Amino acid sequence: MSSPGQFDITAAIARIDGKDKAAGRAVYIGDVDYRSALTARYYRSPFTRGTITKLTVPPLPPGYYWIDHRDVPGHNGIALIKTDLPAFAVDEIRYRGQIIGILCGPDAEEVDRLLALVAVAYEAKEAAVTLDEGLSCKGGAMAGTDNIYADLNLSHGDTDAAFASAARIVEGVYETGFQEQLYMETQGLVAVYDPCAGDAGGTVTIHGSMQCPYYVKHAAEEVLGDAVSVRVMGSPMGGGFGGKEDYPEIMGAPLAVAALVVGRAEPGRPLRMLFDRTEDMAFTSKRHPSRARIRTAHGANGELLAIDSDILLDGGAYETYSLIVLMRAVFHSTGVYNVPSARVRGRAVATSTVPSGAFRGFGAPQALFGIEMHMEKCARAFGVEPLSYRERFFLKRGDRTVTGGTIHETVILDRLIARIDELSGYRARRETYERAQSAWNGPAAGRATRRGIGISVFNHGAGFTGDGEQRIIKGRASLRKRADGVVEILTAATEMGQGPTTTFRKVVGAVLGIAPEAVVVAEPDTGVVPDSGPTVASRTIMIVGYLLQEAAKELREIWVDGKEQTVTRAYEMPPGLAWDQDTLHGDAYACFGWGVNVCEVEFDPVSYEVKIIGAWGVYDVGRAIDERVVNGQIQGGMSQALGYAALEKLAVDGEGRFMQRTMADYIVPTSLDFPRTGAATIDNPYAYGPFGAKGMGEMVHDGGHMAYAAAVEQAIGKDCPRIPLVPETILEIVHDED
Amino acid sequence: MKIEITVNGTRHSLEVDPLRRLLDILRDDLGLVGTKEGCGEGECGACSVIMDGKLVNSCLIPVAQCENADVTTVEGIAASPRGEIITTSFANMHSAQCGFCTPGMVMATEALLRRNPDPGEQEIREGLAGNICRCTGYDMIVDGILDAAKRGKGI
Repeated sequence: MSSPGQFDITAAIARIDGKDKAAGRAVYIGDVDYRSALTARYYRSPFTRGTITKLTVPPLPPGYYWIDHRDVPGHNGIALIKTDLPAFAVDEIRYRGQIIGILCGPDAEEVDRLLALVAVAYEAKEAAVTLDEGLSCKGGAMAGTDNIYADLNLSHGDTDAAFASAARIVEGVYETGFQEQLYMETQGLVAVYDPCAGDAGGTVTIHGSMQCPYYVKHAAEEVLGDAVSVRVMGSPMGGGFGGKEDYPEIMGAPLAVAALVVGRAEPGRPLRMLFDRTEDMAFTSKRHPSRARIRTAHGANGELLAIDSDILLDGGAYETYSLIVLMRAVFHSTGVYNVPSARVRGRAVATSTVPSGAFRGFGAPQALFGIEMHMEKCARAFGVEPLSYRERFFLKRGDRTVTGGTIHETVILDRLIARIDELSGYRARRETYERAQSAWNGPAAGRATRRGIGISVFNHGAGFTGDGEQRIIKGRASLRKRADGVVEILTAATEMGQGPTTTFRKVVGAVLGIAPEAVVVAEPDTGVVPDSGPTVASRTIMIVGYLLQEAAKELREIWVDGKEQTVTRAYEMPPGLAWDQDTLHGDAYACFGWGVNVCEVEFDPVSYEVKIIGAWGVYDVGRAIDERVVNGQIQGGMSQALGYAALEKLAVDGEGRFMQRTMADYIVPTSLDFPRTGAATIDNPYAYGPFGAKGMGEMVHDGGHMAYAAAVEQAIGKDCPRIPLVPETILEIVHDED
Repeated sequence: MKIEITVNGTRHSLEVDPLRRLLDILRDDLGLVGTKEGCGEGECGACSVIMDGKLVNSCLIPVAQCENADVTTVEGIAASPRGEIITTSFANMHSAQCGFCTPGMVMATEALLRRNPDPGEQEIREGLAGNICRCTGYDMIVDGILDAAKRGKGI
């Protein structure tokens, strides 16, 4: 036993899962030998919107099964925030590909052949595929009377008076598109019903690729009712990025029902459902597209007096998570700025597309794009360099947040900016390119490439919004010291690449004076581990890691050699925070991570292609538990954000189908697209995170897209208020004479 | 049809449907599940193996083309001296996050280091151009390969 701090917690160690992953020894769900498993596939709606009038299922050979809503013993709804999405469609269809039934059997080809014989007759309704079609209730309202899932309003100060007396008003509209998570491992689950396992009614066990085993358990319990028990086991994930937060529930609940039906006939026979890439891209949830209209009132010298912001999110055909994605969007809509008065509205709109869902950032990347591109516009309006314009209004400790809470931490944006300027040379290059503008835009302008450099400044509320940790999640984490002295970490946190199987061990090992490699991490199996909450919302290291740190301190105190000892810690809200969920007033987040990104580009005026020639990210993550884990998040997250901005076009056709169907169509960054990302952090320890760590997994996707768009704006000398900025979009912008 | 195929140095005589993919033969028939399927259309490189000295996407190869072929998978590389160095460097430099693309990245690294035991960053990036990683932004994969090349000099 030794005291904490035996090793430098930030100094990188080898990833503990790294070697097995590199050697091909990590076992993902598709690698598990379920030799006796039946192949299960969905029958999905072949039409976009309307009513099923007749369902025809072909006669099935022995050993083949059809399962639909009539087989659901509990409630036929997916338990997410809302349960409005049916597990199996009954008669109403709201999007192409909505799940109607499951067909399963021993031979995959036979399952496919039979699936092709299933048919529905239907009465079609007109689809509403865009935000505007959703808002105008094209084809009639599908959600409520107005197609609005949620309408959130915040205000403080006298915004109307500020606009009435403003010397100048700046107004803009900012749009972001769909984004596909494109985790490399597609969705996959195995479910099995054993009538003899567990309690009286038997147990349905679900095993697979998921961020949140207890969420999947909850969703399966909703459809199965009280008759059976549910156990859920997470396997190592080949990437998640939010895409395995809500979808494994949407996928797993119907599969649990199918497992029950099959298991009654063939006890213990597993069902395996692995999506191919085409099914995964076409039907799993994407990032919400957005459109924000922002107006700001200014004094004569550019002072920021008031903001009036209205953001729309495209929620798709069912509400699922849209309310909470919208909350995060609205709570981030004024960015890092202290605004004397504000009126912010956010609405999530129903449309006839796949329900939008969780994706790293969860509404913040959309809202932050709006406010940061608007700050660029304000700076241009007042003829000043955009960073120095922004700096006048930065939040500092003690300032009011948009929800009427308080910034509790010391804000170190000045130091982050000094560091990124050192790394990127932003200020000097910005000025150089500004001076070159006249030549580029003058009569001598030719085919020579042009450059631009852009910056974005942002924060991200770490952990669940409001009092969700205390009111809903109530996370618990345990440490078990075995009699042989080996310490085991018991949490429901899942490893999707973000590193908890390394960083948790470092935290516990550092407190107990044990080598991290000697600490054991239990598989996230609801039959074994306590519910430490979902692996989402940048909460894993900050919330669960803190519980582990505190449990390790307690274990250190009570440690007795040769004896098994277990310590469990439950979440307690840090003191000094207040939140009212009804009025959305107070501290929406216990603390914030802060970041600054710079992107430098070269624009080719002949091909309209933009080459990213520099990318930097500097962050306040509290304290990095492992420098390479954190820098790996920064580099990877910024790569996704730059892809979102520059490459990743995902559009829908008039029937609400995604037009990019394969990895050949949906373009994500390759090793040649972007230069090495300069990544750095500056310590600013947080008292309620382990060793001072704050959440950071999402904020790395919060700023790259704005820095890129700002850089393109400088290079082409035009506003770029929408992403993705692919060459054809830039061509339109360049040739738009306003 | 019946084919003869050598995988990681072991000769197999297999009765197969000639249109099945090499990827499925490796994973389902031979139990070599280190080779992953990311897209099934040759875009992502997760299924990379070395066949007769060339880096190929095993999802695009009908097994009929593999008669008498010599195939090396990640399991074979990991067991080799250079594979030991590559996989250790990948762990040390955090080249793997979720790990799903990583076996393919290791195969691309092996193919690259066979051609050039001391590649520079640009050459490494070109060598990885057929392999998609969604987690790392590639920088730490490049670091892993630079480290492997340095530590593996002479192997």
